[in-house]
Amino acid sequence: MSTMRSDQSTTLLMVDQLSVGFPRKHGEPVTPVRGVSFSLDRGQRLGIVGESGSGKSLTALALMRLVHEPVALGGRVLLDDTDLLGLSPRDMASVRAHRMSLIYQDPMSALNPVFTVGKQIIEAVRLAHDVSAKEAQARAIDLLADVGVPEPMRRIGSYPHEFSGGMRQRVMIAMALASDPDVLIADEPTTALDVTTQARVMELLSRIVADRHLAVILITHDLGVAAGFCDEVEVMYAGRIVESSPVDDLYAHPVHPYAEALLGAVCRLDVDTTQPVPSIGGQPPLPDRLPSGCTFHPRCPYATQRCAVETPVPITIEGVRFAECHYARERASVSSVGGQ
Amino acid sequence: MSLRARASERVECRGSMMTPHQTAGAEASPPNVIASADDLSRHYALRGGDVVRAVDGVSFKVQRGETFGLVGESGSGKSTVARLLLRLERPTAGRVVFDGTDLTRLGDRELRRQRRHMQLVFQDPFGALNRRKTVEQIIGLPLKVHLGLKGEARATRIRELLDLVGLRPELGNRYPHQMSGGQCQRVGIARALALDPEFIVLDEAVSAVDVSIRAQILNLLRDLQQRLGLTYLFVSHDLAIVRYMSTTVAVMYQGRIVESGPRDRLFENPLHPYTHSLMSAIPVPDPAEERARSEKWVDRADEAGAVPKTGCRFRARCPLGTMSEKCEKEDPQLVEVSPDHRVACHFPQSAESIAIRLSKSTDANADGCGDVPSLVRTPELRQT
Repeated sequence: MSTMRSDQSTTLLMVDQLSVGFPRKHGEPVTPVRGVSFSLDRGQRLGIVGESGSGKSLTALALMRLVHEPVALGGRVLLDDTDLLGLSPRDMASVRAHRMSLIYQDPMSALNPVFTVGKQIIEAVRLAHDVSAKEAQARAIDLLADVGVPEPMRRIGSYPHEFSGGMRQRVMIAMALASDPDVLIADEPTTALDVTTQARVMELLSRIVADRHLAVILITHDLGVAAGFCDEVEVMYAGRIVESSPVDDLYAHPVHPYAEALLGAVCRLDVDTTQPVPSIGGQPPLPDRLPSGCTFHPRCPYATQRCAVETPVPITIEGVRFAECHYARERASVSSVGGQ
Repeated sequence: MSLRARASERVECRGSMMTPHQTAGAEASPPNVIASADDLSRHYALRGGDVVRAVDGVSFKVQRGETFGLVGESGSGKSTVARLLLRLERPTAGRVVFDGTDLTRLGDRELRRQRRHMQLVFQDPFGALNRRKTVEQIIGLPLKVHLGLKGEARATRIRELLDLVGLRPELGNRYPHQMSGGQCQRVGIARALALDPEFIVLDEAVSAVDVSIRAQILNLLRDLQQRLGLTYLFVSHDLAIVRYMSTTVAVMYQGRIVESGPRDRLFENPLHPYTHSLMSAIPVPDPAEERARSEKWVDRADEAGAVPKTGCRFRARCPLGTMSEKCEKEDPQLVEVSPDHRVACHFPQSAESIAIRLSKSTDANADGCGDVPSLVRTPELRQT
């Protein structure tokens, strides 16, 4: 699937130097997202991976303009040629109703517990399309069937608490699809689910994305989930994209030391049980207390003096990927020989 | 925060599982068994007369110094087993024996005394700590309540504990919200260690922390076990982590143990379809392998609906479950297939053999259901 890259390279969404800041009572504002840029083509599956606090979810919310104010938004988010950050709230609501959908991590709190799921899906359908109530209901039933909810005719009258976790997430996906969006943003869609259910939901998402030729941004902390789904992965650390790479290259030869460390820390089923799991020492930095130079340098096993003082710029490697590391070029040439 | 991350020698003792009828006179159990569950059940009555069998006839022994891994999905009953073992909950039936004492018969006061030796680390590092108390107060409370430690003696012990879990002493004055998830989890571990217990239940202790921090905590837990001779009950839904941590593993499904055994034996030759399904569902950080997943069999976890009341509980999700009347009628019992490796399945077999069967049955229009007995090729399956 993912070897099939952007069909004819039609950029759908262009994110250019996006930053999100919050003012504080005392002192400088904090900016948990600091100049994030990427582009998303039609049919492309982009992954954003990173630890909690890296700014990945906030990036998603900022794209949808759902960050709670007061907030300083910088940069541009171009959907086709419209800058979403400049739209009026009303126009932005229309973009959310027609073009971009968001799937949240926790379906239980994202769904309204006092309305049936049918009512909630129908609402999404009617926001996007000018159809009768009856027609909307028929579409809602089709959507539920499409996401694999058994007996959709009956289940449309059920309340969220009557569904299992996996089924609830399917309902969320159905709701997100109700508007026939062009862009689907899935923020940790399977984190709250059991592994077996997660595998099924990711399979479903994969099929739906292929069927509808959607552009997807998958936000996850799970490198395994990203590996199977995405064709391009952005690794986020301390509010910046520190490595951007086609999925196969990233997993075969991570260039940025943080990407390498993240991959190394995964506890796999075939891990050597007599050895300690490789871990990343220290903690991810807080947005108001960023280290000087490269933000990863206090935790980086390869850090030099230069890293503590000089902020790295993105270095392009092999034309298709980049890493924000002073030694990206050297590391890229070494890692393609040695690994680890 | 440097971790003493040495390659640790594994503690050389294994847990052994037992079937209910083997467990008479568990009080006289050998001294290397620290805790045992004996045909343990916990049922909850629902309105309308229905009963949820959260734990339904579970038996196992935990050996001193080992890590006993309990794995299953949410709702499998693994956390309830953990709580029953600590007698945080009363069993509906069965017994829990800890260090030769039947916990189910203890009164409140004796139980409190017993609790010193058995502690719990929770999943949610923030939720488990009182947000209005400082780290010092949190760790100091058990020292005060159980040991009556005061003043300098308590402060010294608190510093010792912070050091043990790799936290700087100045963190003692912090409140939980001033710390990261990893730090909070370390505080939770320090609190569990405060009374120098022998037995610690780790209930999804690393599930809520990030990958990088998770590795640190896992290494810390193994290091502490080595140094302090601890015994762990490690509860998790993640089979890879359970494998890494445990010496003995039990897989739970709907209140039952469906497969159990020494770690290596179980992982080299898993035989229950549910174990296969858990294993095949773990996402692997390898794009090629992940893409091939859809060709592997993952069970119908979502769509299975209600758990069958008769016969095998897993059959609604099992690729072989509809193949034989036996699965519908007979509740499979745990049967020993090789030393200490037990499986509760009428047709235990490898994942490969299931895959072959599945491809055959789709080829032949799925009518080859009559010849189920030919599935069982393993000769030792016949004996108990």
